[in-house]
Amino acid sequence: MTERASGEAWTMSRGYARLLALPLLFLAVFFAWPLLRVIVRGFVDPSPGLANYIRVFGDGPYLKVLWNTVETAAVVTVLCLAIAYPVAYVAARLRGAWLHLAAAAVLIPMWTSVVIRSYAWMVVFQRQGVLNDALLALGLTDTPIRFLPGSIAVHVGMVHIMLPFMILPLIANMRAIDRTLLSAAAILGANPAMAFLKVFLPLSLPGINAGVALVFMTSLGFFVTPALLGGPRHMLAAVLIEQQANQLLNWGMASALATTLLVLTLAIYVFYARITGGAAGAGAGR
Amino acid sequence: MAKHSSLSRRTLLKGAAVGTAVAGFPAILKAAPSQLVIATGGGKLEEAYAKVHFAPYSTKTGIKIVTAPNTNAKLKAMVEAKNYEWDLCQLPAEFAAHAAKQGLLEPLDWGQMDRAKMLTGTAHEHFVMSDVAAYHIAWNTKNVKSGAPKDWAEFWKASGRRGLWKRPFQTMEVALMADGVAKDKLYPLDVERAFKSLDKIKASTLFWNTGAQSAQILIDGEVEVSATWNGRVHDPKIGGAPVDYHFNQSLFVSDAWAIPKGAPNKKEAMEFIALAMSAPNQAAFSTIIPYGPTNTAAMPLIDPKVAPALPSSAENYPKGTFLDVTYWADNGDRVAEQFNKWIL
Amino acid sequence: MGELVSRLARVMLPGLALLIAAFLVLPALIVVPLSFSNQTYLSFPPPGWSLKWYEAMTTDLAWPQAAVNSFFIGVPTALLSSILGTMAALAVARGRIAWAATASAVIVAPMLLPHIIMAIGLYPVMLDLGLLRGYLGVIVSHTVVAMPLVFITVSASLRTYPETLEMAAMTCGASPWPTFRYVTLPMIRPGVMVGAVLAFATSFDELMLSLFLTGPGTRTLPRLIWEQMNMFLTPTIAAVATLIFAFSLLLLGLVALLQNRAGANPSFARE
Repeated sequence: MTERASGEAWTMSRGYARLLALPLLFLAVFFAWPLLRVIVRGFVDPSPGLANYIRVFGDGPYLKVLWNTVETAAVVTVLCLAIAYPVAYVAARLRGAWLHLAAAAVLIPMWTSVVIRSYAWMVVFQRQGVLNDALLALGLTDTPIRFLPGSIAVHVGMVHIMLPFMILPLIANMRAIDRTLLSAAAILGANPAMAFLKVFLPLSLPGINAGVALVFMTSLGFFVTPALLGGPRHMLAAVLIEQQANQLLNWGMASALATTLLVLTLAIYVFYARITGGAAGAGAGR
Repeated sequence: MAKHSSLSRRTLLKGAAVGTAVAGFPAILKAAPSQLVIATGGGKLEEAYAKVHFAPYSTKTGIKIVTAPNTNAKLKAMVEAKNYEWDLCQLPAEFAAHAAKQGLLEPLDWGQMDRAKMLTGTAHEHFVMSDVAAYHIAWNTKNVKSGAPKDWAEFWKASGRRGLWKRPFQTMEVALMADGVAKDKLYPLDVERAFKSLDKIKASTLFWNTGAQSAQILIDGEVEVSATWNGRVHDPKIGGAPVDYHFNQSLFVSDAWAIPKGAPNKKEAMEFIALAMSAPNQAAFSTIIPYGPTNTAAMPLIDPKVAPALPSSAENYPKGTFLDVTYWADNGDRVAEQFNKWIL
Repeated sequence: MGELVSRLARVMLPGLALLIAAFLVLPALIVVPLSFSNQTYLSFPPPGWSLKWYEAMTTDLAWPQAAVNSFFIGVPTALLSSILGTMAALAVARGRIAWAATASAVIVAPMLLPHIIMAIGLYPVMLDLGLLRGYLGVIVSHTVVAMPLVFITVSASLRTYPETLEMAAMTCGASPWPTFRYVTLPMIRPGVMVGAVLAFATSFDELMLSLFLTGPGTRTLPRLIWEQMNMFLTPTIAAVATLIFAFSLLLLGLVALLQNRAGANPSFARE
């Protein structure tokens, strides 16, 4: 990577490296410093020692909830990617009015409060709700299906909220891909599936990585949707942490839980960055 | 040690100097704040407070009232930083008890309020309960045509689905009453027995998270019966929603007024609380929101047409029992952990 | 066989995309009728119609005030996050920093932290700095959580083309700013714009930090909705949502119109 670095490149990259100073300073004051105060609490509140962490890793509900959180976020991410990829593939080719329409369909849901949207999904999924009415009318079921609370409702609700976070980076990425490359591959004898797999898919990887990182990490902090649409099994970390911090004023415990989640997720992020050769800009390698 | 004492002497001298300076301008020292910041839960409660308490207080004192959301954790942050955004706050009573235990609240001046007139268990050193709400049995009138559960034992046996709060407070008490524990023998809670009771209905229960959700699932018919608070179903019932409720075996809960420890405008805050707890103000509040007064002197001032909707009316109050906030302040952490583990 | 697959894909894909677009707007189709309900509770389909929830909203000045606040907080948040996020992405992607992986992990970390924890940490800091009176405190806190979004989307854009482009410009004598303005920015514009939109959306729907860091005069829409819903669930919130829909449609239409008139490239820059 560095062997072809000329003198200019060296100066240039040093210039770029300097750009990091301001964002890092900003984060140091408004993120690292407050976070450090919170992390320290995990070890000193209510008394110095590891008591909070012993509780987190003990036989309480905490590890299970952390695991549920990671699992739910992973499922939502995979679903979002599977749905968003074909949409972005189509939308990235649109021009003019159609493009605006597609942008509207993706953007409009984003302006509606997550709380309101979760209630809208309750209306859809409830026993005498829109979906059950439709299923009964179509004769697909004889008795109303119980969707609430349940995995289907939680996943649909969360996917709905996260989908734009996957679609938009994918569209931005795919519009930059030169589609004549696909034609070139076809001329060289590749069938369309082959051309897609060998040419388009690799080129869209940065978009996939960006979308996956955005959706996975945002999903870890979900609060309202699993609370309204999910059953006990869908108790996620944010709910537990809010309870500790805001209801029980147990800031040491809230901090220990948040720190564990943070470390766990950063580990997943670094692992993902390694296997994909630098997710979301991580790592210098291209 | 020597260093310490010299430091404190210097501080003392400085303080004395400031004191002399201020003493020259007594008007400044005594000047009332131009506004009082009150933390509330917002929404309709705040609208009612504005009408009943804020407006008269401002007219009387000339002090403007502004509100802030009563995020619990903010209280702790404020007191720790000794930098106050609120002058006083309205908090859920069980949380106020917890905060008092952590030393986050100023003692109240009971000289300004008539403690003898307060309902038993509503007057505390650091907070005063302001209104009585009920956690009670409610049902969907379309799904449950006849034979609505009369008590928690019947609620436990009701066919179909039932709703309960996904929190240990109140839900544990209700589980014990369903298992036959008398309402005046609930505390200290028999936690094991409560879980055994809850085990029986776990599979057929929808555990809801927010009060708004409890009303929604009842009205939509997602559940047949649910526990909820009377303030949630009172308006929908009047508005024609298919929901009904009663106060039998209900658990009374409350909000509370309190002052953050060390908050600078304690005098004015205390005057406000005294006004809000006075009989006429309590009565006026209960006329707007179906939560009963805690000051018994207020009850006679209330329109007899309104009284049946109030949990602390002469007719309804004997049917239920008050949540023991002290129990929860002492045991909330431990029981919440067990409850979360149980429900997973 | 390959022909068949590709023809099938050509027909199926747009159909699938339409279906998903329908999925995306479905909650809107429920919220809009709810807002015209004559009931005091949410019931679908509404048994009767009325405009009373819109009337209720116009008489309550808190709603327009909250909407204005949300914009005064969201727009600066989007701007500030875009600037800081783009700077960070450029540094990590082009700066050849030895600890780039660590740097990017640090930059995305704010996304991972539950907002309640950040709020608890930030609240005393903001109290000390005296940033709680106006919009600044909440803008700064929203920027902390929104900056990673821009960082991630811009990083993705930077990875779609080789840095030799910039190197060529520099070698030809262009100084850093023109190089950024005429070479880098056009290439990464989609990433920056998507990041800015996501940053705005995040701020526009953020509750926990807003609860801690906004005061009586600066409360945002999510905070007001939350306060209202704390007690009663009435169609007022549906009316609010409907107005926001209408407004964002108007805004999108306006942008489309302006772009057509100016003949400029549509939002996703490169054709």
